[in-house]
Amino acid sequence: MKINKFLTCLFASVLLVIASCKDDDVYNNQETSYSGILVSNEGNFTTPSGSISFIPYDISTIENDIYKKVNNAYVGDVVNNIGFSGDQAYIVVNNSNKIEVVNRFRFTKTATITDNIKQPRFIAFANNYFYVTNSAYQGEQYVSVYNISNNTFVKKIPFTDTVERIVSAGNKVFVQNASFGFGNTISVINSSNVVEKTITIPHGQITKTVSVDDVVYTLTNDFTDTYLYQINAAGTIIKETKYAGIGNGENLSVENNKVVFNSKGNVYVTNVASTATPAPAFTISPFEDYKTIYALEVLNGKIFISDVKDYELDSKISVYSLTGSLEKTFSAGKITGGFYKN
Amino acid sequence: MKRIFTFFSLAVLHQFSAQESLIDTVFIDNQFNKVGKTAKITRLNSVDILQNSTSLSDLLRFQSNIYIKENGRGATSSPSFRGTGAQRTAFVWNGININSIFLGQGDINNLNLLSYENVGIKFGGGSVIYGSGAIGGSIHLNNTLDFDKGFHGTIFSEYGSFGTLNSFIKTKYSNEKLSFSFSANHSKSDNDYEVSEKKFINRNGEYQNTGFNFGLAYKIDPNNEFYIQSQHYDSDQHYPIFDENQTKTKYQVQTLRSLAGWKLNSVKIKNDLKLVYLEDNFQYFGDINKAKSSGGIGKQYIVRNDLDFFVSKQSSFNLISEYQYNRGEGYQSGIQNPKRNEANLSLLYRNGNLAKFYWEVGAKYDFVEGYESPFLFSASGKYKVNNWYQTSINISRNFKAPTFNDLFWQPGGNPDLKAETSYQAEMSHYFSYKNLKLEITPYYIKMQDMIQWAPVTSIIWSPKNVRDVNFYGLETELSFNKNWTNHQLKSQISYSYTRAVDQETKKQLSYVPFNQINFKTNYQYKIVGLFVQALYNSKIYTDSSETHFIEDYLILNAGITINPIKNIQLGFKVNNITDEIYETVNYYFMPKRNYAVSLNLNF
Repeated sequence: MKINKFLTCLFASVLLVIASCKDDDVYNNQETSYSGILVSNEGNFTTPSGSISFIPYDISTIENDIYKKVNNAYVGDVVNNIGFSGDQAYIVVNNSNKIEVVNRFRFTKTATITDNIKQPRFIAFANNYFYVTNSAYQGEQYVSVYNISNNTFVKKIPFTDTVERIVSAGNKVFVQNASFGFGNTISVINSSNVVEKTITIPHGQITKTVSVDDVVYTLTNDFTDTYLYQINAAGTIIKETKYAGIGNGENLSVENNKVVFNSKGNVYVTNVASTATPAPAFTISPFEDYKTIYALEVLNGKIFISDVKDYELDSKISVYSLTGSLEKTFSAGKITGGFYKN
Repeated sequence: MKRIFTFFSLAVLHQFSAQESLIDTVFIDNQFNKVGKTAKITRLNSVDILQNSTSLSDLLRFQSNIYIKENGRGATSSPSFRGTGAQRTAFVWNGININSIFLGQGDINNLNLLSYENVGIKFGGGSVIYGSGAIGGSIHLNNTLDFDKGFHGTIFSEYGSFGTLNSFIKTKYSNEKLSFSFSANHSKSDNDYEVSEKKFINRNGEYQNTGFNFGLAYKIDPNNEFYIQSQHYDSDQHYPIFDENQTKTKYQVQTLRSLAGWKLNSVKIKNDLKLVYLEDNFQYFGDINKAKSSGGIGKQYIVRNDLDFFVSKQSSFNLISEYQYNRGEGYQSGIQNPKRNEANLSLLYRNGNLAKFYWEVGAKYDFVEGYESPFLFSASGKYKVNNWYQTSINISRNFKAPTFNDLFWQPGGNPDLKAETSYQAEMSHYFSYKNLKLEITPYYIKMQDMIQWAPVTSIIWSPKNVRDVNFYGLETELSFNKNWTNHQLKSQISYSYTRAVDQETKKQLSYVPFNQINFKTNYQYKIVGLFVQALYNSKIYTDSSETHFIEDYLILNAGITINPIKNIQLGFKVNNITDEIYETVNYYFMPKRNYAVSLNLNF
């Protein structure tokens, strides 16, 4: 009995040591704290109600407001985009005219970039630079370029058309000159930071442009049909896929050769190579308008969808499998606008 | 100053007297005293005003149970009366409803309180007399003109924390026939306060505004008098930003309010004819360094006739007829050039034949271009049960008209909107015992067809008559006033319980505190005066799902005044003594402890 008790104690203390070692590991090893899905919540325009939430890969739970928890400050007004480079995350805060740079796994703030930032929208990385689209309402449209090593401003690339999404493929940077469903060109910036060409998309108006494995994908629609274009790193359209009869295709996301998008409440999942018009994988109803599916992303084989609840209440995140079974729902921050793998 | 105060007290004392005409004053809003016979009203005189001289927001916040939502000190601010929200509170300037024709609400921090002799607060609906928006209550900004008082002038100047300066100069002259009044006021503040605990700096919070007021009255004979009252106001208000690099924005307003009237008094008939012109110019600057990004002009031409016909000495019919022509002009906004003709007729009957029971009934109909207007009515009575208890009851139907933005905004304006309507009932109980007075008012408001903007497509928002909301609550007020030989004490504590329940979700509307307590006390000993104010708000939900909220808070203010010689008063006050960190709107922190010194000269 006594020896038993002794062993139990010993066993318990060994466990405790192991457990505490493990804790220390978690603490010391940056790669495991906020590694999972990051969620950007825009917040309501004109108030610093933007926030960032974290969902672990096992989608067991959500942790809201992680930036504020770590840094004891609001992240800002309209968190529009998050980009990653090395161990840093770059949080683009539109109406605060700034980019907050944080350690991507701990979320401790490391820098704030404001030089030549005015109503920033999206960020992309290439050639030891990072590129930010700046689009002021009825004002200047430009891409500002920064040195990745020290966050210093390098140059400003002015545009006459609007500048919205920005992605990189190879050593080129692609700027979507379309926003709010209007516009059909993509500009290509080369490694000398000069616009070398403008790609005109043959059909439809661009809704969203992404890049995966050095291929740029852009989804367009003309209200009767939806088109997917693939553009190579040289800036040449290599493939057009017409999803005949699907109007209003939007919210493109591509992962592991799967293409996911929605048209109204219908969510489509198809293969990059497939040329057939897919049937909806699942349907979200009631579908009121674009605020019902405000953001959609396929990450780690799961589809994350946000419903921004009339912009007033906390957004609802729903996580679906690729075949459309609802696996989890979460309550996030205000106006959830983006999901990122971290 | 003292004379104004004394004079005002006299006016208050006389309010229940039927012989109003004895007071040698032109009340430009001649309805307010009548309304006060049955409705719950509060009057704030010039002494009260100077205790919260920074803004009308501060005055209403600390001296009434109205909840004031302010985007940081001095910035955009709106009231909520009985939980009904800004669009259901009427601002009434000398008897004329001045809520914006575009927004349907008053912009409190652009109504500088130093322009007015007194501020009246009327609780509960009053659309029959005061028109659209008088649902939760109305706030009355009044100037008065008196006769036979000679020459009188006041200079007031106050310097406070955050580079704040509030000043006014007022001159009045009157003889038996002529009364003249002129005042100018100026307020300005750098307003760059900091709440370090919250890493908050009120960046770009500066404001300044200037007002000029001019009044004139002339008695032709004992039965006829003419009067004019005019106001010009100019304001430059920056909007606070939360981040150093954020684009700074600002808002400018130029307002002109003018009225001319003729009062006829005879035994059987009292008639008051007013011609009114209201002009509101505003410009929004999306970037303070650039040209205006949008703006507009609203113009209102009003003819209003108020006829009292006395059936007997204590009973009368009152016919109010009004015609308005309203015109809007937009600059780079969704408003083009909307115009609207509107006429309305109100008929009231008042009866005070019984010594203990006074009652009145009223009805109103609006003829409005562009939307369907509801039939309105009111009925009220006051019964003096004994010498320590009185009770009054008010029942009415009130409305809020769709605004120019609701109807005409392009794209999205909805020309098919109906007016919001509400039924209201309240019952007040007044108890008095020696120097104590207790007032208890439970009320109930059932509001239908509340107008709400919601997105209809990806770009277009549109208003609809969607919500039904029930408001109910209880207002109580306990006051103690006493004068000794050299001492004078006035204290008041009020408590309100407010529910504003959306009939679909069964949740409280946002920004309606459940419990609010106000306390104020004034003590005067010879040449020294002291005052203390306290405000408590219980937690306030900031969204309609009762998820997020602002914590409860308690704010204390205090001040001292000294009159070293009769005509000079020196003042010192401390606001937010306990350094409470608080917000009235989510994210916009209010200042911590701050100070002001003032000088008041009377000649």
